[in-house]
Amino acid sequence: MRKDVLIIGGGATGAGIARDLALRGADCLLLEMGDYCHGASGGNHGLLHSGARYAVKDPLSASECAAENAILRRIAPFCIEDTGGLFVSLPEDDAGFADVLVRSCRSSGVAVKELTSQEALDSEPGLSPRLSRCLRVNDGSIDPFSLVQANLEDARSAGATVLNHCSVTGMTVEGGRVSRVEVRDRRGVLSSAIVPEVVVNAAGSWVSVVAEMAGCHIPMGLDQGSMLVMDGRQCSQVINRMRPPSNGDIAVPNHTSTILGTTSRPAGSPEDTTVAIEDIELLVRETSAMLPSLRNCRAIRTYGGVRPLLGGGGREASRSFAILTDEGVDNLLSVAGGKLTTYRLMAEKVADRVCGMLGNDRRCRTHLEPLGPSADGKGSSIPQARLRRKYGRMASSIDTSDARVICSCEQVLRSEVKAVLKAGDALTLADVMRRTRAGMGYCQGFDCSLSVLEVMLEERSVDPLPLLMEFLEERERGFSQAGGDQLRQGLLRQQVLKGVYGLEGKE
Amino acid sequence: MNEGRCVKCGSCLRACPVLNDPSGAQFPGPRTTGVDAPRFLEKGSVGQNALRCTMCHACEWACPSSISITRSMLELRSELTGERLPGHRRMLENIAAFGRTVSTEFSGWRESGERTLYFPGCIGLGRLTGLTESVSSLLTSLGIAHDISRDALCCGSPLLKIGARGEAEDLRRRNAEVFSRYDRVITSCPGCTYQLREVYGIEAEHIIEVLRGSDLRANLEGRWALQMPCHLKRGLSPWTADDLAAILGKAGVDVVRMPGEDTCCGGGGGMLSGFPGTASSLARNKMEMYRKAEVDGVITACPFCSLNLGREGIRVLDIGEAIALKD
Amino acid sequence: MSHVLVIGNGAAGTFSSWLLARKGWKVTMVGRGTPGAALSTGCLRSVPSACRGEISEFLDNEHMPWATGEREGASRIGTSFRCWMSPSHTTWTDDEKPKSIAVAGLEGHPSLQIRVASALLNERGVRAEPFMLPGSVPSDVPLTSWFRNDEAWEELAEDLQRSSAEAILLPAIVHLHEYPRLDRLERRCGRRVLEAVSPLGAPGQRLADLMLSKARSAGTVVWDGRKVSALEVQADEVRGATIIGGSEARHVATDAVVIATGGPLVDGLVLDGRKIMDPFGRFQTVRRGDALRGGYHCTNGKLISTDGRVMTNTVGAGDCLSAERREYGSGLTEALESAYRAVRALEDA
Repeated sequence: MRKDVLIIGGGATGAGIARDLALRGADCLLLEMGDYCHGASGGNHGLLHSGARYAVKDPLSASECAAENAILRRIAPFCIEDTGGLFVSLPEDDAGFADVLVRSCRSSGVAVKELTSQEALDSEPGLSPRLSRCLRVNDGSIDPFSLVQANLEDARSAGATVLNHCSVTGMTVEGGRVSRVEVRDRRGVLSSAIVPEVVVNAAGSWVSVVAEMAGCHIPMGLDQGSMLVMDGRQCSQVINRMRPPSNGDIAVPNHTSTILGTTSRPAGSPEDTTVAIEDIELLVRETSAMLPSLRNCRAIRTYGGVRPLLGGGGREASRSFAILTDEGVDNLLSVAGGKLTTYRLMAEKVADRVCGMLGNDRRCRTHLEPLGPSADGKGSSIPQARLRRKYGRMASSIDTSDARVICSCEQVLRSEVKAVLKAGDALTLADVMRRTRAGMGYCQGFDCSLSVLEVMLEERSVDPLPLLMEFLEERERGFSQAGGDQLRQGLLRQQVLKGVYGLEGKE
Repeated sequence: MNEGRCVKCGSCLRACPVLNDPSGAQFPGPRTTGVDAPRFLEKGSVGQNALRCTMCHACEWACPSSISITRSMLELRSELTGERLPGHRRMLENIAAFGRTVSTEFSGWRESGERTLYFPGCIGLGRLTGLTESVSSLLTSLGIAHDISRDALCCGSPLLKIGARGEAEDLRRRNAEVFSRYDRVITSCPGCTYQLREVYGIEAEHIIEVLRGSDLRANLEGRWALQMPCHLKRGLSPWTADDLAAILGKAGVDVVRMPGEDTCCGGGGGMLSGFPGTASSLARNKMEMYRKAEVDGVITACPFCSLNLGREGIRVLDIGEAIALKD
Repeated sequence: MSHVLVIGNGAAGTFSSWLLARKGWKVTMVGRGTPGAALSTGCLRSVPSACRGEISEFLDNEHMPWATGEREGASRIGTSFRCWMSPSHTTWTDDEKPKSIAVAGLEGHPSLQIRVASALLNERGVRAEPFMLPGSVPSDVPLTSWFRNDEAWEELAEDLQRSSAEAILLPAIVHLHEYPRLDRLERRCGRRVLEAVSPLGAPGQRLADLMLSKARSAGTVVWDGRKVSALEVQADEVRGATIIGGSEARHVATDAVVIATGGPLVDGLVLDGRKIMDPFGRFQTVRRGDALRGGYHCTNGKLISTDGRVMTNTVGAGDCLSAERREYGSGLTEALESAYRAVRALEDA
């Protein structure tokens, strides 16, 4: 199969590139080996950066974030919670850092306003009364799954082919270019190899792995970060610690929870997402210094992400991105580094290069064309009021005449699950979860996974038990160290799933 | 609130009298409304059907995690966006016009400057004036001289139930002055009793608490079942509910106990005015139970229970109407 | 007459109350919230060793006949459920195994996932077909509310005529006093009617209702919706308790105490992170193997105080006791047996 552009990787970067190129009329195919957002795009903090966090050490990243933040708010308001953000310092923090931060923000174009302690507490009553200084910034909370889906939907509408569960297994390099790419499609739709004009390697943490297939060597500094999901929105704004960036600095309210993050350690591989128990203790300790209620809150799950950083990696590494080429392979572009907040800019730069290579002189439109409507949060029921947030402009395709709720924790309609399954690219229960949020709530699929499985059986013929076990085990990996009420939830789960249904999983 | 404790056992759903009635299928249920909804930014959109709840506390009592489901649902009621139900609008109009939820039919005011106030509540002064007169006579025969003041307005509890916090606070301020004239406040409605204790900080007594320890008799023939008011048993104290049965038994009433006697009658929490059809349906479920037991009537201690069950054609007496002093 | 305070209204609490009341004790049973027994499948997984007779008598009732012996059933998702004692429509013996089953339920209702259950039944060699009953009921609405009267059951019988399977598997839709409806349905359809073994539903509630009514009819004073907040200990005896109900608190004196509060799931024990703590702060809680299977340490049924004294008048029963090895889901039999042991310990004292 011939294609102008083969994009490898279905995270924010790949999806953004597919959208950009498709809008410029390029004939694209995007392949994602797992489900979209398989890598860092599915394991990040969900933070729409104001840029303040980088202002001191990485002013270029800071400016980029500030600019892209504004663009995303304009084109993709549905998947953004306009929470605003605060930087908060405590008596034990360096008193002078606040001034350094303000100056650096101002000089990199990051909007910042200082608040008095009283103003801070009025705007966020849950803050520790010990706070000394406070700045307000333009942080927001963003849903990467919804964002990426909207990019892919736009790409499809503009003629791109987008496939998940489809891995690249090998590349043939002939005459200094990639001439042929072998694929394995889990669904069996794609049978032939791809013959691409240009290959874009947007595989995030797998960029090295993919580049090696073409004999190119790209050293990366893979870096793991841990996140902890707490039950309930414990703050109305993003709360940042005002000190030189370190671990456990940020709490982000997101949908029905608060995500605490993050940490940093070298990762041995793209799959090395494991969260250590010390990370959990650290995250609660550090963030509860700013928001004391976090100490007694229910921790729902942990998850980790591997950052696709270049070079040395670690906290000091630049968050800026780079487009890499290899002398030996003309038509392979690799892109690594970057942040979720600047995905569109990364995609624009890559698309500019690709279009140059294809002789396409169309200009980028991704900052102009809307990705979806705003989520007004109004409706005749909670599920209805949330449809736009999750599905953007696809929300109108959900049949709301059936009011039945399938997932109570996240208030997901049965119709949503049906619609997602009908669309065809959700093969597993986790795929359904990423699109609908069914299973992301505090019970972690205990209540809804069987019902979702039943709907799946209504739509197609599948082998139910392996699908169910795969999902339950994946969920359980996130709360294996749970305590308190999540441990009680675990007890009930074991009694029912093991004791009654006899489902033996890995404990 | 401690909604974070939920382990999805579903006990609240099985305990809910509304969900267990076919007419209640539109009610999102105690878990969605009291446990899940508070987590969402969009909680105000939960919809009018969230009001299809009598605030009977059955869910709270069933919850193994001790979640204050009813209190959480009450909080949610003041966050609801969207139009008010017609019955609730009328209630608010009445309050604005004359300070009570329904028109006042009672005329036997007693304003003699006594130290005790008998506070019958809006239903007692409106729809069930006979109940008020009986309780008043009973108090007199017990030697408790009392006022029934026309200045004492609605306690505000029904307004809290429909999320009208501002209006409820208004009433409290106006009533506080009236209550300050008295040393002792006696009520015949457990909803009022709860409101006066929790929100006004007054040591109000329900008539059952007043009757405890007195030598009483009842001139009642036949077999009588009980309707244990939700706000008495699960709001004030289950011991006070036990006392209802004990007082009647000691007074010579043939009391027939049954497991469903403390299931909600369907009248509370704004259901009677908001969704009268569902209120009726729940009342009919109770009637079925009483009819199967072949009792001659039902004795209760709450004007809402009297009102809602009375509409279904069974004889309902308030304890004040069933009891007299032994002579 | 000696007064005993039983704390907890689950299997261990009700069984101890029943045993003690019949032996002439004045029993007050205090409990709040749904007990673990009501969340169970309503079946006894393992065979009791010490008190089979007493258990049979305790659970015997007119509405719901029990079947004992090695039995197998279909869980709510079609997997196999083996037990020793169950309501008669729930399980079968080897030679009663149905040749074909129609898995009947309402579309999308969690009470019985008809397609999942059929698929899993077929996988284990039982010929099963999903059979959709008409109607659409929201997930949170208990199906018991949809099958409340004779008309609904008549309609159900008519609907089931469309299936030719030898047996019908229904979701759990009957309360205790309605259990005979399943017999009537069987006669009406001419087919075996089976009830899916399901936790968190009607079967557990039936068991809990049954045990509570037995305790009551033996003379137990039941204080429902009340919770013991503190115990008053003098030397090696608990002499009194503070009990909270609604907005009232009362203090009661007692001669003996049975603690049957259940495990961490029902808040009978307190979880601090992954550590089990005693809500009364009086007794030894220990981690044994899987720390979450109960917590109180006891000797011959008698609880041990935090400083090592064996309480002479306080015993423990049920999930609140530490258990070295217990299969998930086998708690009921153990709860009943430990209650029996606890009562013996009190009587011996």
